[in-house]
Order: sequence, then C-alpha cells, then structure tokens
Amino acid sequence: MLKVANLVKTFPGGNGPVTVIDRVSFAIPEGLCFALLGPSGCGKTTTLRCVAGLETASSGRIEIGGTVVSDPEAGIFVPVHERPIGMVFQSYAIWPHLNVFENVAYPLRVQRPRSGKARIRDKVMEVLRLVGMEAAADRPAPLLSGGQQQRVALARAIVREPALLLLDEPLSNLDARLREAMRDELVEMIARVGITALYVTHDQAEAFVLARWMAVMDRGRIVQEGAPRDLYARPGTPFIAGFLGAANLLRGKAERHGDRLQIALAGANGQCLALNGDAGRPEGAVEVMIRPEDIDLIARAPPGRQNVLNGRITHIHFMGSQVECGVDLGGTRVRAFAKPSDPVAEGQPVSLRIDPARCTVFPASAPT
Amino acid sequence: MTRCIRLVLLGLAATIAATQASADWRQSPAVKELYEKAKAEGEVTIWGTNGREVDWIPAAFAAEWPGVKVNPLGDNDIAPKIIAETRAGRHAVDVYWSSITGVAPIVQRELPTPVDWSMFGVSGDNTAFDGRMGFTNNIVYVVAYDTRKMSDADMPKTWDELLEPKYKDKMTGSLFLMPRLVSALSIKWGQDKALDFARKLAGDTGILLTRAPRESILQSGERVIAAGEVDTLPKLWAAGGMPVKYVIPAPVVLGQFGATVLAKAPHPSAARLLAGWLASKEGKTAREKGNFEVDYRPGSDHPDAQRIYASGVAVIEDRVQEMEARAALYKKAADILTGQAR
Amino acid sequence: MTDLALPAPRRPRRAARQPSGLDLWGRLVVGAGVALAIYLIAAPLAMLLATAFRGPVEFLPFEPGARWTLGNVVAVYTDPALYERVIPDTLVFVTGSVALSFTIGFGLAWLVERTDLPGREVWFTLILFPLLMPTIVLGIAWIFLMAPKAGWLNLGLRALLGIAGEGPINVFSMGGLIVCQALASVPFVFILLTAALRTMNPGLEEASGASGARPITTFRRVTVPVLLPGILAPFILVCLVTLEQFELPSILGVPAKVSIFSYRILYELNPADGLPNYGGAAAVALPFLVLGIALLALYNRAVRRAERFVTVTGKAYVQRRLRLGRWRVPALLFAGAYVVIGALLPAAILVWASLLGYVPPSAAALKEASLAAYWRLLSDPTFWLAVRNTLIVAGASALIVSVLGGLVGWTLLRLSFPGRTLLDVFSFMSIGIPSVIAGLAVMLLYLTVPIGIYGTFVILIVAYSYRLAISTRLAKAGLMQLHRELEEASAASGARWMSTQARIVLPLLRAPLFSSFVLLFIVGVREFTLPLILHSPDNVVLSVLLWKLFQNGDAPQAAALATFILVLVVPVVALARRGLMRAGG
Repeated sequence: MLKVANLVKTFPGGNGPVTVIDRVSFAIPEGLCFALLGPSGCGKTTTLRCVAGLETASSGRIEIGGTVVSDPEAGIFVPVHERPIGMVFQSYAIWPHLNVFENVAYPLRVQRPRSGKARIRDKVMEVLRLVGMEAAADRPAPLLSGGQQQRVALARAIVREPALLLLDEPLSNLDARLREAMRDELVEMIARVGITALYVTHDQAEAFVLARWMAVMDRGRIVQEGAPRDLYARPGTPFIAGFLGAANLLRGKAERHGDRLQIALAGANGQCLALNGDAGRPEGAVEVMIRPEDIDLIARAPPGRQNVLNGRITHIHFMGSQVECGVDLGGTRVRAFAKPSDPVAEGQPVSLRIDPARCTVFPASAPT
Repeated sequence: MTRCIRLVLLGLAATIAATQASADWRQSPAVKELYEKAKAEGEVTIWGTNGREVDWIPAAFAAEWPGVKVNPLGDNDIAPKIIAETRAGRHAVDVYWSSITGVAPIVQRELPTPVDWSMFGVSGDNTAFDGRMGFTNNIVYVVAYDTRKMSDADMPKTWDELLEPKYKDKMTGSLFLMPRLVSALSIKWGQDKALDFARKLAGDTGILLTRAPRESILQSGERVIAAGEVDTLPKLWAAGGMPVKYVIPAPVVLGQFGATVLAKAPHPSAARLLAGWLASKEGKTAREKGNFEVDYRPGSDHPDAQRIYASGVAVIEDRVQEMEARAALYKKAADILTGQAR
Repeated sequence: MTDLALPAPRRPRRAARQPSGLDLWGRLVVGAGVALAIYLIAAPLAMLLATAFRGPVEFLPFEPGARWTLGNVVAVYTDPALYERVIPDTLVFVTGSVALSFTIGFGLAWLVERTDLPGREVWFTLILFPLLMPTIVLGIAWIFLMAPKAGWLNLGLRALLGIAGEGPINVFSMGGLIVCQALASVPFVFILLTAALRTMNPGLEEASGASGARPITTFRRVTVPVLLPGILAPFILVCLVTLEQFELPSILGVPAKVSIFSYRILYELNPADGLPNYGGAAAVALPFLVLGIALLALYNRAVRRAERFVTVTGKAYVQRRLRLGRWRVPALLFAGAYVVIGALLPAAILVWASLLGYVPPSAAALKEASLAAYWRLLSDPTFWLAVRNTLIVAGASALIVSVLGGLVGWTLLRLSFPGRTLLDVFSFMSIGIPSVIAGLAVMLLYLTVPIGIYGTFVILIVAYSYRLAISTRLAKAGLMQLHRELEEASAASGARWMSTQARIVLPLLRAPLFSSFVLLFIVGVREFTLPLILHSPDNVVLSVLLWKLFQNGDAPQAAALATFILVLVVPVVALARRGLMRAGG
C-alpha cells in the first residue's frame, strides 16, 4: 500500500544544509500496521509528514496504493488534500468551533462528489460507534477530554475510508494510565477496521503493541527493521537494544574455544560468561547485552557456577509489580528484577543467573 | 403755476415710475420670460460654503418663484469640488455662493459667466469681477457678550480697546475668524500695528481662541465676551434663547458674499433667476428672515447699515483689490495667534 | 484554547518553501484579495506622495498650471518655528497622551479580560463610548467639565478643597490637552489590547504564581514580555493616529501655547484665500509615512523572536480569571472614574444639551427641557437618509476591510513570496495617510476614472476602506495563535484550500475579525472628513449632518443627533461583544 524509496529531506540550516531524512526506504503492505520508532529529532515525524504531503521531500519516491504521490526528480507532487489518507495529529487538531459530529463529518462534507446527508449521517455514526463516541455526537469540541479527543480524531481520520492511516504520536499527550487504555483501544480499532497504518512514536511499548512490523530510526536513517519480537530479542546495535527496552551492557573480551564463546567481563572481578559460539558472534572487545528480565536474582551461590555472576545489591526501587535491583559486580553495574515478595535488601550479596541464549553480543566498537 | 404743478407731477410720476420699476423688476417681460424658461428647467442647484447659509433658500425661493426646485449644498472645500468636477466634465452646479476670496479661484479659472444684474434691480457697484458676481450680503465682525454679566456700556468702541486690562481673561474667540479680522484691520492700521495687536491679544489678554463653538463657552460661564465673531452667530444664539447681544467696534470690518452663475450650468435660466433674486432687494430681505444675514454696503436700506454709515465711523470693505494684501497677512496673523510664532 | 506556549521543540525550523496547499481557486482568491487591498491603499498613498510635490498653491494638484516642486516641502520644513516650538511640543503631547492612554487602556483591558470584575459586558460597551462621539463633542463636554473658571469638576473640587479662584484643573493647558487626548484614545487602545489579551495563555502566569512570584512580579516578568508583541502594534498605531489628531488641540485651544504638528494640516487646509493648500497639507503629512515605516521596522525586529510563541490549540480550555478580592473596590473605582469622565458625563452633557441647549444645569432650567430638537430631527427626511447611508457605508466598509485584512494577514503569515515585506509595509503605511488626503485621492480618482460611483454612497465605502493596517494586524495576531495543525488536519481530510479557509480558519479567527469589524464600524460611523469631501445630497451620513448642525450653531439639534448616534451604535457594540464572548470561549 505504501512504498517509500530513498527518501531524502534536507533543510537549509544556519551552518549549511541539515539532512533530516537520509535515504529512508520501507514498504507497508495492505492491512499492516507499521511503526516508525525513534528518539526525538530522528526524522520520523518528518517522514510521516512527507508521506502525508505536508512537507516536500528533497528527493526520493513515495507511492500510495500504487500511485506515485511524490517524486521530486520526476516533478511529481500530489498535494495533501488529494492523497487518499487519514491523519491523526499529535495535538489531535479537533476543531473547537464544531461539535463532535461535525468534526467527524468534515471529510465527507468537503469531498467531491458530495455525499447525501443520510449517507454522511450513517457513516459518521458508524465510526463514532466504532470509537465509542456515538453518545457524544452533539457535544461541542472544547468540552472533550484528551482521550475523547483522540477518539474523535481517529474517527475523523477513518470516516472516508482512506487507503492509508497516518498517526503522529497520538498518545504522547495523554497521562500514563490513559495512555495504556487508549493504546489498547487503538489496537483494537485499527485491527477491526483493517486499515493500513503508519504509526510514528518514540515510545517502544506503543510500537510493540500496535505494530506488526516496525523500523527503528536514528538520525535520519532506518537502523533496523523487523517484527517487534525480533527487534527486541535481537537488536542490531547497543543503541537499538537500549532504545527498545531496558538493557544491561557488559563490556568484556571474547575468545572462541571450540563451539563456545568465552567472555571475560570487565569490572566483574574476573567473572566470565560462556555463550554459544555462533558464527555471527564477534570476538575480541565486545559488549554483551542482557535484559534485566532475563536475569534471575538468586541467593548468593558459591563461585564457579557457569553463567552465574556474583555481586552486591546497591539499590532497590520498588516499582509496584516488581522490584528493580541494582547489582554491583565489582565495578560494572547491572539491573535486575526481583518480585516484591523476595527478601532483598541493600548491601546484600546476591547472584545473577544469566540465560546464555538471551544474550546478544556486539563488537565493542559497534556504533551506538 | 401749472408748469410748476406739471413739473412736480412729472417728477412725482417719474419717482413713482422709478420706484415701481425697481420694485417691480419682477414684472418686467425679460424677467417673466426668464421665469418661464426656469420653470421649464424645473430645478436649480446652488452650492455654498455653509449649510446654514443655503438651506433657507429652497423654501424662500419657492414662496416667490413657485415651480422651480432649489437643491442646496453647503460645505467646506466647495471650491475645489467645483474645480475638480468641472475639469472632469461634470457640471452639476448652477449657482455658486461664497465670499469674494471664495469666488476668486473660480473666476480665475473662467468658470462663471457674466450676468445682467440690472435686470434684477441690482446696480453695477453691487457686483464684482466684471459682472460675474452679484453681491448678496455681508458679514460684519462684532463683539458679542453675555447680557447677564456685561452691558452695552462695558463693551469696547474700537478694536484696540480689546487690549485693555478690564477685558483680561474674559474673552473667547474663533481660531479662524480672528486671523481674518486682523488681516482685514491691517488695511486700515497697516501691517505693523495689526500684527502688534495680534501679539498683544494672544499674549496678554488671555483670550481663549478655539475651534469649539463659542456659544458653549459663553453658556458655561467660562468666558463672558466672544470677540471677533461674525454677526450672524450671536443673532442665531439669541434666537435660540441665549442672553447675548453684540456691538460693532470701529473700524467696522465687512466680509462680502455674493452669487455667481456658472458658465456650464445645466439649468442656465433657473440659475440666472436664482442668482439675480439673491442679489436683489427681495432676496436680501428673505435672507435676513431666513438666516439673519444683512447687506452692509453703503447704500443699503437696512437700518443697521444705515446707522453705521450715518455715524461716520471708518468701514473696511471687503474688496477685490485688497484680497491679496489680506491674504499675505493672514498667515502671519494666524501664526501669532495660534502661538506658532512670535 | 491554548496550552503550551513553548517554542515547538521537535519541529525543525520550517523551510521557507512550504506547500501552502493553494490550489487554483485559492490562488485566485488570495491574488484578488491582495490586489484589491493594494489598490485600495495605493491610490491614496500615491496621491499623498504626488500632492506633496505639486504646486504652486494657486493651482490644485491636478490642474494644468501645477508642476512638480519642492516648494511645499521646503516651506514647511525650513520654518524655524517648526524646530523650536512645534516638534518639541508635539513630542510632549504625543508621548504624554499615548503613555497615559496606554496606562489607562491596559488597566481597563486587564480588568475586563482577565479578572472577575463584575458587569464586564457593560464596562466593555461603556468604555467604547468616547470612540463613538465625534471629538468636537468630547471637547465641548470636557470644557464644560474642566474649564478653569466654570468647569463643573472644578466647581466641585473648589468646594471640596475650600480653595478660591480658578482651577485646580485647567483643561486649556498642555497637561489638560494631554489628559483629554488620552481619554479620547483609550477606547481605541482598549479594543486593540483586549484582542491581544484574549489570545494570551494564562497558564504562563499560573506557572509563575506556582513558582512563588507575587502577582506584581508575574505581571512584570511574564505578562508584559509575553504580551509585548500584542502591545507593540497598538502602541505604534496609536502613536501614528495621535500624531494626526488636530481636533482636540484646536478645540482646547491656543491659550495653552501649544503648537502641534498636525495643526499645520488644519491650517494648510483653511487658508485665507479660497483654495485649500493640499500640497502643503500633504507635505506636512509626509513624515507620518516615514515615521510609520521606521516604526514598523522597529516593531518587526522586536517581535520576530516573540512570534515563535506558538500556542498549541485543540485542547479543551477555559480562560481563568484572577480573583480581585479586596482589590475589587479600587478596580471598580478606577474603571468607574474613566467611564464617568470619558463617557457618562459627556453623554449626560449631550442629552442635557439636546433638551436645553448649553444652559448650565440647574433644577430651574429643567423645567424648560423639551424634546423639540428630537422631533425636528426625526421629522427631517435627510436624517433618515443619513441613518441608512451611515449603516450601509460603515457596515460594508468594516466588512470589506476586515475580510481583506484577514486575507492579507494570512498571506503575510503563511505564504512566502518575493515582495512579502513590501506588502507588510504597504498595509501598515495605510494608517499614516491622513483622511483628508485619502478623501481627495478618492474624489479625484473617481472623477477621472469612468466608474460611476461618484456622488453615491459606494464611493464612501471605497474611501473608508483604506485603513487596512488595523485589521491586518489583528488578523495576524489571531492567526499566530492558531495552530497550523488545525489547517493541516483539514487538508489531510481532503479539503481544498478554500474549504479550509471558509470552514476552519475564518470561524476560528472570529474573535480578532470581530474586533476589527467592531472597531472599523465605529470608526466608520464617526468618520467625517472623508464623507465631507465626497459629500453629495445622496450620500449624506450622520457625522456630516452632525458637523453641519454644529456649524449652524444649532446646539440642541446637534446634541440630539449626537445622542442618537450613540444610541445607534451601542447595540451594535453589545452584539459584537456577545459574538466575541461566544467565539473566544
């Protein structure tokens, strides 16, 4: 449904042109919800806006539904209002002078050829029902809460059944509890409608929940693309690893011994990890990534056990469903989780059982 | 004896005939013919410098000359309008009524046409610009006063008496009329005395020169004398119930107003009739009734005018010859009086 | 409708080349609107520039004998009195009255827009009163109130303080003149400032309060800097307008030995000998233009940073009002004092005069009161013609200028094209053209050009429509507060440019557009120089009628008409205010 090929966007800047999008390419097949994830300033929103037609690309091709909508080299630029899209803005952009019904009906009213009043009414009420706002159809916009605005924004974006739904960080303006609830609703609604969607966010949890396929962007480039689980389990770089979730990075030196990879960890009082010696894994100076949830916090064990590291708890953070513990291995610090019922205390010597299958090894000089 | 009687009778007859003739210019065949033509034209447009000064005309004219509708328009800056419109080929106005200085620019551009004023019983010395302008009335500069606080005996007999200490902080005056008065006085007094008078008036007497209506200042009691007004204004105020009277100090300063007929008037006959009537005795009488304006020229039969001339006091007429001299002094006087210069 | 007022953090600086979404229709409308705006301003402007250099004085600027000359300019600017007396006096007058009017106007705007002052809607209408009355009427009223000998305020004060003699207030002085001009300018300032205050986010002040700052500190450190762009434009506008004022200086007179620059304009237009000296008047008016451009440049520089204060909209939001508490009484006194001196007393004097003439008030005089003046007025068909003309002309011109101003404002803000700065300067300069020159320009233009509107009320509508500076500024200010995403959402919903403007932008701009409509309507009603120049029996308007009645010395009828004008405009203002309150939320 959406094909982006070699998209480039540069802005004239104070000290020369700034490249905001640096040869970005991806494709979204029909019916898929695709997430673009990345930190602030990585260019994801600009990419979205290029797809929408609110920004002009410097070069590259954008195709929606098989039609080229933007290709500067070929002199093609379809303006935003002629693209078959629906867009949910970060600020929702609900028009304050119209009520809920009119906000949602707007795309149908401005459409040429115009639809009949009955048809508009039916369509609007249908999508309002979908988002759960049909009772509020007459409410004036300024009286809506954040969550309600979001729903109305979504309804408005899908009412004319566009080929592509664009969402620009729609949950970022909500508070945490609401965010989770709305997130779940969004997933359900998008799935129910079965629309192709491009979802831009900086929150990895959102991306994981909403998207079946995603790409991580950093400084104008897509650095990794794949299914959420794969990205999470096998991040390509420490940066991606850290961005997608909590990640412990342990520096060390790796040596192959037959089919095992022996890693002498730095700052761990000489302790080692023994991992699978897969072909792809690097040797020499490395960083080992292990996520806290893949570490078992156990009572202090005698030294020498394979893949069990000893250390001392430095801090405890009670977080509700779990207790985050900081463990000092002898210089290197590691984060691990304990259950609230576990008897942990600061200063307590503990052991960390590492699951070697869940480790990822990066060359130490890998770009972050 | 019979020859004497016959002479007397002849003389009497001649006098009667003469008075009849002048009184009945309206009956003359030329005028009657003009009237018929005017009625055929149906209407006439007169423009003047001030609404009040032309708005009384339609009713008064209709009373004596029914069947000819008068459209009056009175405004500031009427002269540029006439010039601009004429230049653009629009000829909407028939008669233009204004002061000598107001008519002069129109005459310079050869817009009015000469009129046979004698047909209306108007003598030649009551015309100007080679018969293009027929005199209709004068304004005279006066000093008006609140009768509750001052009396006729307190008022100045001459204009320079205004500088006396007894009038200090008691006077108000018009920002526009005062410089005109001073520039007119210079004709008799000479430039230096006139400007000196202006300096002292502005500097020492505390006179309140303003563009606001002076009747409001008199009514509020803030000042009790309005110096340098034109006579029509105190008459208007008094007619409206204000306790105000006026005196005419010497030298008597006149402003001259008259009517002209435009060459390209769309209603030429009606225009002549109206202008002629305005300059005639009947017109003057109607004007006084409608607007308190009077003819103060020598030879006028208005009792106020006759009293002035009988008293032998100096009169400064408003004449074409002196227009430039007065204009030259106006700016200097205005600067002094408004405090812009010393 | 505002939430965060931070510089938008994540969006990189927008490139100059932004797809504006203008399709063919859009281009046509914008192009036509801008062209019309330019046309409306260009004619008077060209006339001003040309006239200043045409002379000699015996010939009108367009006549055959006239030629290009520096004579007018030389005559005006080589006069030593100009530099010794006129310029210093004018500076004192302008700075004094503008400063005072801003202080009072800001205070009133603040009280009405941002506090819980009771009876706000009534205050709003009352404060606008002085704007509705021709200056001559205000001048007379203040003479009645503050003349040193017989002024009523002075009589009262003397009795109260037990002093004899004159005063203590002397309206015929520089101080008196400054105070009166300030009082007359306050409504104009008030309207402009309330528009600015409406668009400010009180969350900023709340944050300041939450950081421990006292209200006065918040005011100083937060409110004023944030409002600065909204204040600067009215400040410049009012300065330029005040420079042009010659009414009050000439009414309150000359014993004050005050010589104001603008008085020269009056003087040039009323010489002793017949023709007005348009060349001289234009030469005097030239520096207003130059000053206008200079001030605009200053304004643009000062405000460029502040324009980054994009406020995010689209969220539910209610204006929070400051609780006055024990400050309620002083606030009411302050507002009341202005309204009484600036509006109620002059209105009372008007009504009194309409019944009785200028007789000083007393119980005995009351017996003579009669409605005769009103009956005379109402039975005059010219009066009704004037009513019709005034409503049509003021309404139509206010509408045209508001719409065009909105269009130009949008163009300046959302589009970029070569010559954009020129358009900005152009629209701003329109405020620097004295109305007498604009009137002459329109008269000459439509005498020469064969569009047959001369003498009708249509020419008045055209003549009134050159004051685009006001509506452009207000529209720009309003647009700056309107988040781009509201327009983008419309485009993303499939609406073409015209639809977006009509359905989204215009309705959301209702508040500033309303403000400019109200202001321009009021200005249109009281405008009298223009209709006087273009006067014909068919297009007489109320202000011209009023002027004539004053000139005729017919005080009761003039006062009756002035009272009627007030009564006419008050419901308009009240309606507009209600519209504003609904739109602004």
